[in-house]
Amino acid sequence: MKYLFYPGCNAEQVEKEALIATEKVCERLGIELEYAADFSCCGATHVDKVDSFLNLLINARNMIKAEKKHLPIMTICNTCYIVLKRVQKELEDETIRSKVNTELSKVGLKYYGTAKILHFIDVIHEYGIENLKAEVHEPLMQKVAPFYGCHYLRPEKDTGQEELEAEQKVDDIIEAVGAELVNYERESSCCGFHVTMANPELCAKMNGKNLLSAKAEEAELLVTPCTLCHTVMDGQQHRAEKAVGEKIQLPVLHLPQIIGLAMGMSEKELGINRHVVPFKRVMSYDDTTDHDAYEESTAPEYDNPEGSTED
Amino acid sequence: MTAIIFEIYRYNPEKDTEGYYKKYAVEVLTGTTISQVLRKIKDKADGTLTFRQGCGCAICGTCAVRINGRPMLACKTKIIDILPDLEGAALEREEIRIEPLSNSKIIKDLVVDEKHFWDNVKKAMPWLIEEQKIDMEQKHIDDMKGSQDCINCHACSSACDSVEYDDSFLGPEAFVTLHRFAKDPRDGAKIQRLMLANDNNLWNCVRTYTCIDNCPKDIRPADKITELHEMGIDQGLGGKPQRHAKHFISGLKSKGKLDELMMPIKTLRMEVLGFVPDTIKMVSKGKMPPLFGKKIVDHKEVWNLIQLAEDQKEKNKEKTS
Repeated sequence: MKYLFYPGCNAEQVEKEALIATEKVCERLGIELEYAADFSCCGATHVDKVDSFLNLLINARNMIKAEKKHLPIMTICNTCYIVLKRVQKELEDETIRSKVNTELSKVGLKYYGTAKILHFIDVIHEYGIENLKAEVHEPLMQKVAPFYGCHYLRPEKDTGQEELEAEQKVDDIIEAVGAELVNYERESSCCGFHVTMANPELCAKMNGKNLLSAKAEEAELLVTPCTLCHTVMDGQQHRAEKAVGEKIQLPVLHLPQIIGLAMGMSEKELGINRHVVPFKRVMSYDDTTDHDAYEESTAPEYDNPEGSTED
Repeated sequence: MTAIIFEIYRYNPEKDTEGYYKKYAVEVLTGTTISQVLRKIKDKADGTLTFRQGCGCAICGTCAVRINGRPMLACKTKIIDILPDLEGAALEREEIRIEPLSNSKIIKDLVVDEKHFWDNVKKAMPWLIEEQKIDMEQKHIDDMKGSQDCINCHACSSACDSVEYDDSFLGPEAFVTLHRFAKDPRDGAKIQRLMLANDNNLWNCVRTYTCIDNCPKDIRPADKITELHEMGIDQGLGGKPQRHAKHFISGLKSKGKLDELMMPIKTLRMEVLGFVPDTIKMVSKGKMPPLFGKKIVDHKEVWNLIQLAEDQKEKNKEKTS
């Protein structure tokens, strides 16, 4: 298994621990990565606001680099993932592709549309959930809430998979590392990252509501497959606290980090010490918690159907 | 006919302090629509159930409700769209939940107050201003394609995160309306419309793309919003979000990558001081973007592509003028 690793600008410059954790986990699992040194910034859903044609050109170029190497692209940033997916979809249109190829030919490039775009989540699924379970030596016995990040989920029309299916893939990984999956109301909402500069107040409100929603379901930590969501949810959690007027202090981990922990890697090795909100690993479930009672009290009530109709 | 369970949101402000869900078993076929299910319940089980119905053929946009959490037209949505395997053995356990649209005040049961959605559409001025007499050509129609198909069902705005948080954000539905008129070559108020979009927080679209997945007419409202962003920038409209977007292109030009270090300064200017505590926190954890980032391999290609795209834009401008 070999992939062209496209970490994205954020993981290369700010969320470096996500990049490091991904490389370490992949190395341990025998997943070979080649760093995509010639890939440019994808434009992160901002370049198209200034010049939509340029957005097509630079991302067609990125995909050409993968086409030439005959390697699937692997991202760890949901936005890089969706930008590439959306451009690939748009370039399925013959007229647009031809217009793009006319310009690309001026720099000696040609786009064929054969690149395979994957997220780290997909790569782990290609590796196999059962195979991953076999590598879990120190199960993460904590209540883990997923924060999926919009751009791995939507638009379904561009990702090619249903939102629920995409969410399930993340849930499967969380459960495979031995954690107790905590689902909550705002798990597929927006973190606000894309307005964090233009409207920090809006971003903080969204972030606060999402974090509180996870906390209300007694999550001990939150995990996200997106480096951008992590920047906001960990790095700007104090802003979220101010916005909602409550102390939150919910640790947020990158998806590869929880895999690394479960495989026995140290927190330092995985760069967890670089997070703003501290994370403390719990090595066993708190035995004082009556888990059976918890399950019983939250079991949904089911009444017999009323008002049955007959035709 | 197969009986399945429908869990319907009920709320009568005259007697209920809060809403609740009530279950009804209804016999359906694969082609039965949600509108038909609601009608059956009202006719045969509970005449007080209140919901909207209109044309019955996905044109009037009246009947949108949330079906299993997602806004959809009740008249267009068939059982097979929700349960592809109607004859499946597990069906007795299947339930379909029907609720009113989100981001709105509930009036009764499945009926919401639509006033704010319509007020926003009105703000977008859905009429021609200073109309110029020109011969419409197919390319003009193509430019408006999509946005003029909107049936104002409110599905997109009801699912939008920005609408949920920001009352001053016009919403995808109204921006689609605005887009339709801003693209109309007969309209004489293009700049006025783009400024109106800016003033009504066009740039607060957070790119969740829920509007794309939930539009029953496949209009892709987020893409129309992006077109409005670009049209505004082309007309010289500027501000914090525009500076932010342009900074991505500066990074591509100089190194091929985003310059994370300079982004807050270039976007926020003096307001960047408000981010000093954040920066200190991040830097103390080693999260400092590099002072001198490296160029990507084959950066010259990216630089050339930027020049080519700029040339294209110039050509397009000349054509339009």
